[in-house]
Amino acid sequence: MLLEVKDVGFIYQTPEREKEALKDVSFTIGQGEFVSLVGPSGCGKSTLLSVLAGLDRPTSGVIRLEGQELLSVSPAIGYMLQKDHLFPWRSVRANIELGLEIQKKKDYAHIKAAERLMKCYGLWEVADMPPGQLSGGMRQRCALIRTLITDPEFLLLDESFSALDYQTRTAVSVDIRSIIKQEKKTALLVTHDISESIMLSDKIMVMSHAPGRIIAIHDLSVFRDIPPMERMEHTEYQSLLKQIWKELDIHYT
Amino acid sequence: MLFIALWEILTAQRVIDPFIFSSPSRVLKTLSNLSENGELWKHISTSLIETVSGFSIGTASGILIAVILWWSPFLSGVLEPHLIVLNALPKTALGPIFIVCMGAGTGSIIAMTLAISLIVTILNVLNGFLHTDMEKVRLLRIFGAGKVQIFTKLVLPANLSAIVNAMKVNIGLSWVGVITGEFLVSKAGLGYLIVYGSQVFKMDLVMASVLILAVFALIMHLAIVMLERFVRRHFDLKKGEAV
Repeated sequence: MLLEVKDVGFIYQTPEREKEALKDVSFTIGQGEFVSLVGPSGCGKSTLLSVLAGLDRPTSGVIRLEGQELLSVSPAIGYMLQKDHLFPWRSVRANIELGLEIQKKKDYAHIKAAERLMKCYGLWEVADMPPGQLSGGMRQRCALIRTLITDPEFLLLDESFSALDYQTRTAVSVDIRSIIKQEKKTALLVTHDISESIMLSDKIMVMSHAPGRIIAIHDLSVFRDIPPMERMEHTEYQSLLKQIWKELDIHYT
Repeated sequence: MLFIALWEILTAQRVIDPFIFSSPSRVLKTLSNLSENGELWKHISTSLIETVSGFSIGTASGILIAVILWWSPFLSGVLEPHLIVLNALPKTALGPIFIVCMGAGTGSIIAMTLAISLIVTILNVLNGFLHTDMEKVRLLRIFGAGKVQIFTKLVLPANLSAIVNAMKVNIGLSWVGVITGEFLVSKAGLGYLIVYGSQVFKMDLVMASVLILAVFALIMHLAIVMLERFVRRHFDLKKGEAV
């Protein structure tokens, strides 16, 4: 087990009132797993990621990474935000090396590792170009390599593909999953897209309406050896989609 | 060129009075006389030194104070209302105070220039710093960046355009401060020539001084425009792009 989250709660304090965003959130994630977290809008998914990343302290409960309690931002956790946030004044290479500079890890080994990843994932030819000249998919790969290069144990992906159009999103998400698996990382993807979560994941957690808590965990071992794009053709796909949709309990009036 | 030709023709034909409006030929003659007796460069250099000094100190101090206020939300909260009041105050009203405190000389002129440009610089640059994309700040915090790294790797490069914009505003304001100061106290400089010329009805001298003033203000403005182009080229920010 790599990550253990036990009875985690979070309350936002505002001048007018308190708002409970998370309540008794508990789950575990094993080494090498790609896990998705789905939930209705405003249920606390991004709040949970902020707490896991150490940007906010939980108001209750405990989070352990490899048995050690997480109390603040940790280099063991990488966080890929919804937008790539590449700095336009830095080249692709300099953007990728940003985390290394901050964590004072910009040594020969890490620079070579960055070169390897750029070559492996199609960014070497554009390494010295400004990110404004890259496609959406390339920008996301650049953002992922920027996160991977600091060698985190665990990756948080906050709706990292939602800013892309459908076709690009599908291709990029499969691509990113493949990179994460090849680099043998563990990941938690927050997404509002159920089909995307089924396509990419080893496990899906369903979060309730606010205050968010985990109400269901689906093990996708039945899809384990099936490539992401072919999972939609599996007999279990539709029933799982319907089950999760029902659990999300989203009503439109 | 058309304007200059028209001005010369209208004054030569007495459509407009050359005594009041001078003419290009009379301005050239005045400049030639001033140059021959060595006065021209003395007055130009006086104003230039005062302007460049006031501009440099005002810009550097303004940026430094903006950095301090960005660093300390407490100080920013305390000082911001005072900065807004100072910004609204016509700084020329402070001229006599500077003269009494610092004497009638270069010091009070530079102080006047500083007063005019400093507050505007602080407010513009600080506004840019505070409006830096918070998601990018969050990204750096995720990597474990401290405040110094957040400033050097994000806030400063992201706001170079705001700083250059502040400099463009400052260059004009610095000239205003210098000329106003020279009106009040100086015995040299372009502002002195303007006020002296108007008092003795030597409008040729007034026009010549205004023309030189316009030329040097334009040169300094163009220098900052070149700096702006350099910043945009090397920092690849598109015009109006928010960071």
